[in-house]
Amino acid sequence: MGIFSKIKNYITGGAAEVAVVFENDLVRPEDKLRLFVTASAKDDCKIKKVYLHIKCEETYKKRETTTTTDSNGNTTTTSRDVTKYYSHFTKELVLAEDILLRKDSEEKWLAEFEIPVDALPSFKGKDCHMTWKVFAGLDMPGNDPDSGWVSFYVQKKVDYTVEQM
Amino acid sequence: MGLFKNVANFVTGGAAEVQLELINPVLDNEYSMHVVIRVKPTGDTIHAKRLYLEVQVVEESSTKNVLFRQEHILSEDLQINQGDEKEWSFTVELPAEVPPTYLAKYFSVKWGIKASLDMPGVDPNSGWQPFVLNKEVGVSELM
Repeated sequence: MGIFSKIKNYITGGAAEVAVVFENDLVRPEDKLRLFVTASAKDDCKIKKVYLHIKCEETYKKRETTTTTDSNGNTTTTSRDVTKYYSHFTKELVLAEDILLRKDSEEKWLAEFEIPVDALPSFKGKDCHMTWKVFAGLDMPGNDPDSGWVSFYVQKKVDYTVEQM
Repeated sequence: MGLFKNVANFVTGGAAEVQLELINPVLDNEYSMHVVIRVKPTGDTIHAKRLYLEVQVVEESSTKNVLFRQEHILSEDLQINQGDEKEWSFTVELPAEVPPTYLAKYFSVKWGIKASLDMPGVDPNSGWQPFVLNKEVGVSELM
């Protein structure tokens, strides 16, 4: 592979293709999420670590108000609903360290993670969501090859009371 | 009843007292809720086009979205005489794929139910009464 290709891979993270394969993408608290991180090398990859980020993220709308004043001193106030995100849970698992993955070879690593008992279940509304997702990456010089964020689902019945409403 | 009282009732919906009692306000993996509605005129005999029940679940952050809504007509062309009280029992049946109650940090999903009399002006009503639906979200509802 030429020097330009190596530079391109350094910038784009294209030295390997990384994917996440779930054994089961629907889990309950206290169950184990089991998945494989797979990497297919397009070039020799000297990997410091193979990592998996796990995140539970709330998506919601927040009203934001902006006030502007023009050159004549007239004030205008505008409001709009902006999409916001809040992380309820984040964790990094290191699946392997100091690996050399040769060009055209493939490797896979098993990741297991127990969903916390107090985890919030997944929810999909109209503007608001609770999303669980994973992101696998290879820690390498330059841009890390990664899988992007991939969703899985936590299923759970929460016992609310009328007094909480 | 004087003209001013009639005008006040037209504007405030105060011609009748509408009470809504939820027999099982926490639905635990079940979709039938039993309610009792009691209507009593506050003054003169009332005539209403209908007595109806609204059920809805609202997702709320800075926006409000009704995710599901039902309306049931319990009675039509009804008259309740001065001093009388009438009572209706009803079972609300929700489909299985409706969203559960959900309380997050910055948004909520809450169920409510309201009984109203369809009358000229503002409808006398019970106000929204909260209830809870506890269930697992189905896979098809998450994707």
